[in-house]
Amino acid sequence: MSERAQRPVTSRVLVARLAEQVIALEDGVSATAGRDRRWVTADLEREIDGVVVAETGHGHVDVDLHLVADWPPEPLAQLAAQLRRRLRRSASMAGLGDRVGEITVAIHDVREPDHTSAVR
Amino acid sequence: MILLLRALAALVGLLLLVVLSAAGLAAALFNIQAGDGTLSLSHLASLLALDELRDSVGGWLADLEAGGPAAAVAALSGAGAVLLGIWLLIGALIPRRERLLIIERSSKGVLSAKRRAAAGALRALAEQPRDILAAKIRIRPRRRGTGGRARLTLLRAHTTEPDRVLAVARAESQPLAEQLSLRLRVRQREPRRTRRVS
Repeated sequence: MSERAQRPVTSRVLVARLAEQVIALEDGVSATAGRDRRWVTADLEREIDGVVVAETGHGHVDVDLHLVADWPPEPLAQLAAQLRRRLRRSASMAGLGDRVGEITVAIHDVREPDHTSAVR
Repeated sequence: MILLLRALAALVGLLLLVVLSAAGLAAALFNIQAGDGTLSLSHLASLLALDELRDSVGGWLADLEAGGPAAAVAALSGAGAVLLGIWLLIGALIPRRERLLIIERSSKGVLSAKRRAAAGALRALAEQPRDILAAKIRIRPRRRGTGGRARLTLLRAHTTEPDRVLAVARAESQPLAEQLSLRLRVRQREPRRTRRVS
C-alpha cells in the first residue's frame, strides 16, 4: 500500500479519489481541471483534476465532475447516468454510500481522440 | 515575445491607473476648501506651479462654487463619472461566466455542457455532407429550466437539390440536438456569386 493511501484524509477527499477512479475507467471522457485549474480537489500533496467535492452541511457531499468528451460523443444522458451509478456503487463499497449527495456532470469540450478540439 | 508585450501592457496600464487615481485623490482633497485655503484648488495650482492655468479656469471654478447652472452641470457630470467608474469597476473585476446549457436536471444531479462545446459538436456534424461548405451555430440556453434553442445556418455549395442537402444536414445534427435538449432550427444560404471579369 502506498504512503499516500495510508495517510488519514477526510471522507470528502476519499469521495474525490473514488470519482477520479470512476472517470478514469469510463470510456469516452476525461477529467479537466480548467484553464486556470479551477476544478480540482486538493489531496495531500497533489490535486485531483476535474473533481470538486463540497460539503452540503447536511452530512452529504455534492460532487461536480468536469469532463471533456471524446468525439463522437456518446449519448450524454447515458454517460452521466453511468458515471453516477458507478460512483455511488464505489462509495457504497467503501462505506461512504450515505455521504454522496448530488452528482453534477459538466461537459466542457468535445475533442478528437488525438486531443484536437472539435470546437473551433 | 507576445508574453513580454502583454506583461508590459499590463504594467503600463497599472501605472497609469495608479497615477490617475493619485491625481483624482489629490483633486478631491484640494476641493475641501474654497478660495485660497490650504486645501483649495487654487493652492494646489500654486503647489504645481500652474498659476497661468489657475488664472484661465479660475472664473469657471468660481462659478462652480457659487452655484447656479454651471454648478448643476458639474454636479451631474460628477455623479455620472462616479456611476461610470462603478460600472467600469464591475466590468473589470467581475469574471465573465459563460452561461451553461443545462441538459438534464434531477434529484440525482445536473448534466450540463458548455455552450461552445455543444456548438462545436453540432457544427462538426452539420458540416458532414459534401455540399455544406461551412456551418454557423448559435445556441441560446433557457434562463430557467433545461435545454434551449439552436439556430444552425448552413453555407452550401450551388446545387440543384438544396432541399436534400438541408435534410441531410438536419438529419446529421438532429439526434445530438435532441440529446442536448435543444430545439434545432436550420436554415441555409448560398455563397455570394462573384461577377465574372470578361
